Amino acid sequence: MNCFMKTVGTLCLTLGIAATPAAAWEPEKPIEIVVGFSAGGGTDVMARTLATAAQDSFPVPLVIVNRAGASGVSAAEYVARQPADGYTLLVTGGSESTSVPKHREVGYDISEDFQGILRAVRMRIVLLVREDSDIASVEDLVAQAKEAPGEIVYASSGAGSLYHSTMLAFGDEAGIDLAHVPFKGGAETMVALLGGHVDVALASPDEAQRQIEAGKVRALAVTSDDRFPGLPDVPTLQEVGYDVYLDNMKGLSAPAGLPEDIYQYLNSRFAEAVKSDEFIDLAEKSGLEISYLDGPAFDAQIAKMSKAIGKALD
Amino acid sequence: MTFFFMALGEVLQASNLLILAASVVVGLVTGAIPGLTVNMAVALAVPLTLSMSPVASIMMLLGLYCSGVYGGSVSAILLNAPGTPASAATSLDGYPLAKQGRAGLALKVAILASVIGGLFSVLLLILVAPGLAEIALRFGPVELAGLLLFSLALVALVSGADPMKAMFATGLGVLMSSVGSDPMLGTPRFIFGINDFYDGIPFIPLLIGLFAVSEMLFAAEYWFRNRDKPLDFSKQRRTNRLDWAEARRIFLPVLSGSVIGSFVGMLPGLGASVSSFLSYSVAQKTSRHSDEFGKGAIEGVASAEAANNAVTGSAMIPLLALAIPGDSVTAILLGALMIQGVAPGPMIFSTAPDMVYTIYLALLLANLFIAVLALVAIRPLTLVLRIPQVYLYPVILVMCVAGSYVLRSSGWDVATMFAGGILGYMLRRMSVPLAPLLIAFILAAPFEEAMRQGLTMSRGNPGVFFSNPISLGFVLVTVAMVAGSAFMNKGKAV
Amino acid sequence: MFTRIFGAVLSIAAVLAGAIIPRVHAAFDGGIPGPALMPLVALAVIALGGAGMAWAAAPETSLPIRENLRQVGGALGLLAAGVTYAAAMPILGFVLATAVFILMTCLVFGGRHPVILIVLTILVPLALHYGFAGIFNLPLPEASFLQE
Repeated sequence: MNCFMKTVGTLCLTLGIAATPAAAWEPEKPIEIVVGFSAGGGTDVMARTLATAAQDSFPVPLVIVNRAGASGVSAAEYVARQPADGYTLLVTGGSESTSVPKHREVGYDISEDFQGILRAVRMRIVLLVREDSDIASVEDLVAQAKEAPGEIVYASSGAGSLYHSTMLAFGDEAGIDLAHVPFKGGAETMVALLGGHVDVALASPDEAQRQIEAGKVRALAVTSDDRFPGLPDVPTLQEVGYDVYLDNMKGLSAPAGLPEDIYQYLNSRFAEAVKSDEFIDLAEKSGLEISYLDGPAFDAQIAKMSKAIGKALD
Repeated sequence: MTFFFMALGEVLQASNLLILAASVVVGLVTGAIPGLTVNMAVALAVPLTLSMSPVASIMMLLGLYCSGVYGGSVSAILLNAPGTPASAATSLDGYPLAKQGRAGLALKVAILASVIGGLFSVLLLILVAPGLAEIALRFGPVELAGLLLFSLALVALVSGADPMKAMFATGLGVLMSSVGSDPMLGTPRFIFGINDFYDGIPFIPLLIGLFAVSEMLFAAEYWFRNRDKPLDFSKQRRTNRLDWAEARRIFLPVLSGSVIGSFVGMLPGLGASVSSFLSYSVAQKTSRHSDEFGKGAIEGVASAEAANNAVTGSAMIPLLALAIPGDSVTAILLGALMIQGVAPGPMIFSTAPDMVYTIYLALLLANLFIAVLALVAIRPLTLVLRIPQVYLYPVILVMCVAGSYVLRSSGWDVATMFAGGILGYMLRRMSVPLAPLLIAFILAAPFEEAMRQGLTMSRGNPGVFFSNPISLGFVLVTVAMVAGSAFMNKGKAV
Repeated sequence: MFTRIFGAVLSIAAVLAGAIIPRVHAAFDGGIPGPALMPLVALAVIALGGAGMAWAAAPETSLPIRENLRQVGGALGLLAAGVTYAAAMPILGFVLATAVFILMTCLVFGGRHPVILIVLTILVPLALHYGFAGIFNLPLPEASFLQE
């Protein structure tokens, strides 16, 4: 079936039927959206939701390919090697883009090897303590950490992850030294906090909100540039005087060097999907915060956050 | 109580029962095919639930979850190809049983143990979920390190005919578990520039290689002329009956497996494979037939299967009580429930009691459906063993290659599978036991992580493992066990 | 005898590897265990096990060399076929490579029933391809020469 279509396509091409140069780019084979995390995770759910919402405006299937491994680095290295023809896209904006390359060597340069298509959502990062903790605010945390350097223990979801980098950036900015204990993911981090095994933890808003509503934890701050609508009373780190702005973002990127017409084609269709009722509805239910940016603006945000993390690690 | 009857009414609707039955079948098949995991089946079903009612989607996802974990044991027993990592412990004794022509018995034991383990953990979930969740929270890195130290010591002491070879296998397992990123620093260890090994040696391809591929290589030694006598069906009926003698033998292993599985299942980050291997080791250590383990002991099958299915119910405990998923499948379930507008967490018992009852009932029913379906399927399934090896094995090898590949679309995973096959073949030719290698491989990584997390939290002071009552308890039991075993060995030698 | 030699070699190799690893990774880092600690423990266990095997291995019944070679030959044959198949998959595509592999392996190992052969060769690759790609949305490799 596929072969037949291809043959027909080739025939048409050779006969000059499709040779009208003014025609804008149209995809002719399935578009692969590569996800660097396993099926069912937050990134995967976002990608699948976006693909479902966008599918109707594409003439070809959008195929989600999970290449899990190394905090998304394996997938990024794979996509960086693919041709810039618009048929291979990568879900970017998280650890693999802004954080891991600053911690260790990876086989790609996020600003040179990739170009953004769009940013679809942002997931803010919340700083949490237990409800019964004697740390009541960011000021308390900084004061206690200065009194006893290295005594306050925080949990992140992995060495080199965005959460780890966020804490390093905050520590660098506030001039404090905290002990880092990496865990395998969000669930383990939350258990370590709830069980009293660590003092501070970082979490995504939906993980945090569930525990805040249950009265088990308190949020000290969010690390974004404005307050999170779901937690209107929680200040940003910038408000309390520390210049840290890091977000976990999710968007699509393609290998760098994409022709302008392909970029326009992909951007316009995915941007439409982000604004569709279907996506808005699902995003709300899965705790995703829709925050559209076009390709160049997405790239600029990634570059800005990578730079901030790079500065903190030096 | 009215909520209970409301939930019961919904659950018993014909359409919902049909969905449950269908998803149990799909789960069994997915679980049985090596490379297709339960996680994947549940994750791929989530988009389907978007257009369904909350009750129907809960039944579909839980049906897939429970039956997927059981399904792995079918191929583990019949083909020595564990369909899921959690059923690797099942094939250690299940496949030898199949080779003796007792596949039917092994399958029956697996079903019985699975269903009892599953129901046991569901009852725990129903009766004492909030209290148990608080206990689970007390298990931080220090306590986990104690538990895993105890488990590793069990493996080291459970040695077969040749303790030196078992020791070598244990060391090799620990060494292989250290491939990949360092759990604390994130720096790569022994990956030689191959990024696909950054998260460690991929477990499913390794498993397929060690078990299924090495088994096929052995069969190829004889050019696929079945060495084992063709199955005599008249005799088979008798040897495959599960009567009181067998039931008595598996009673304790099933019970201990259910308890261990339920306990490990509610601790986030360990999961079904740790629970089944731990339960297998305990059963071997405590069994009066411990020398039969690895050669076809029904206790081995029973303990492993009870434990891995007990995880299904107890992983829901932290999910419902704390909104914290106990393993990767329940993490997917959490997302799916939220999309349905059901928000787990301490409040769910008062805000949506009907959903809680629906989850309980779906879990109970799923286990019953598994029992019925699997019992019906036993005879047709064992017919697979009557296909001549020369036609069966090339097809299975193809499935192994495809199964290793699809999970991450990685050629290195296929290479790992073949390397695992060569390793398994060589080790078995030298009669080095594979069980210690696998158990050490599974347990060493979480142990290292927990130990180093604990030491980071105490800033390098190992005293933390002795001042904490839970970990101190495990350390003392471990020491007593090692000392006792040394004493007993001395007694034997004299 | 073989087990004893193997044990000795194993033991020496483990000790040598144990000498190299600390140069790459630290066993202790400021009093806290580092990346090399567990691997070193594992190598110590392997070295002990190897030494034990060299010291006192259980007596083995060994087959005549000829018989042994014949057996290993069969295993190596299947292994070579499998590896070739996996290597050919990105070039031929999953369906074609699988069909060829099943046909060849069955023939070489003595499966000659024509009906079974045809059914397996055609049905298995297609069923797996559509099963994985169609139902589970998991793509298998496609032929590279058809892509252009």
